[in-house]
Amino acid sequence: MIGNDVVDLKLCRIESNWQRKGFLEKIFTAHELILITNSKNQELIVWQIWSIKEAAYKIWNRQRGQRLFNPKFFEVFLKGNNKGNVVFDNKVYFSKTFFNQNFIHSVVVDKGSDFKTIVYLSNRKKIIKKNGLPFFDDGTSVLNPNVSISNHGVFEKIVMLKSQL
Amino acid sequence: MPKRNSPNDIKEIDDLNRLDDIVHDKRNAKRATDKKTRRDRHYQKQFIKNSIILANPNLKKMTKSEIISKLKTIVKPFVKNDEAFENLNENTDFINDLQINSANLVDIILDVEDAFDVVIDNEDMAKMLNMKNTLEIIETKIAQKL
Repeated sequence: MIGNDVVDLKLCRIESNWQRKGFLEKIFTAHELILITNSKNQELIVWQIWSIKEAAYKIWNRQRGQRLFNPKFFEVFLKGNNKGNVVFDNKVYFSKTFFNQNFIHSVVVDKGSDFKTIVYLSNRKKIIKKNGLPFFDDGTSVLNPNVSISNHGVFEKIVMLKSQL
Repeated sequence: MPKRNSPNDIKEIDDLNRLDDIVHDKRNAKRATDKKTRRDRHYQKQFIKNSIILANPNLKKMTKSEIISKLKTIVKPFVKNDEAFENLNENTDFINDLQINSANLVDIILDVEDAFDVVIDNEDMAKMLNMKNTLEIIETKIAQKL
């Protein structure tokens, strides 16, 4: 299982005001709010935790076949700058976040070792969608469901776990 | 201390959705010590509210179409698909149809709270992905206030 989410920081500054009254309290748990308050770069950590939650939601959404908008349901625990854990449904998942000046990109997987088998795709040529969910079609009879697409602003990120065949 | 309302000033009140703010019984500041006192206060407040409704027959509960138009103005600034917005209906999905960014759903929820003077809890927020659920939640919240 894999989920990913990219945040276009420039677009974020136009589209969202995370400093708006009540905004953080609606989406972050008490633990996450403390992380944010204690951080030197609050903007970055707000969107980092947010992107991990969104990536985790993509896994939940594929597991359940349901939708929801409940960011607090996915609780993030950061370990160092770019690693973290995200907990939902009483299970721990693993996250890695990549930063640069223009974007934040988070990937969540259910086994830490999965990070070794991540492949980045540069286009959607071999991606097909079923019920809105992406699958990788390499021409064989088995579709690989461990694919996640994310786009925001000028960025699009497609990640996949190498098929375990 | 706020002025205590009496049935005499009911004519001045023009917004039924703000009743709880407007109707103020200053005796609430004191602690109701027994069941009967609490019940009396409740009836007093209820009486003033009902008097307002009787004295202002054009003050009705917000109609569904009023709620929809208010909600439309809230949603509009975040819409990325204008065609879907023009064809807005109960089944319109905020993310799939209107292509609203999920972080902006938080803004919509905060705006709904302000505009309708309600509090949206986590459980309700989780369902607010389309027009139908959002309208239902707003209607329920408004009904709970009256």
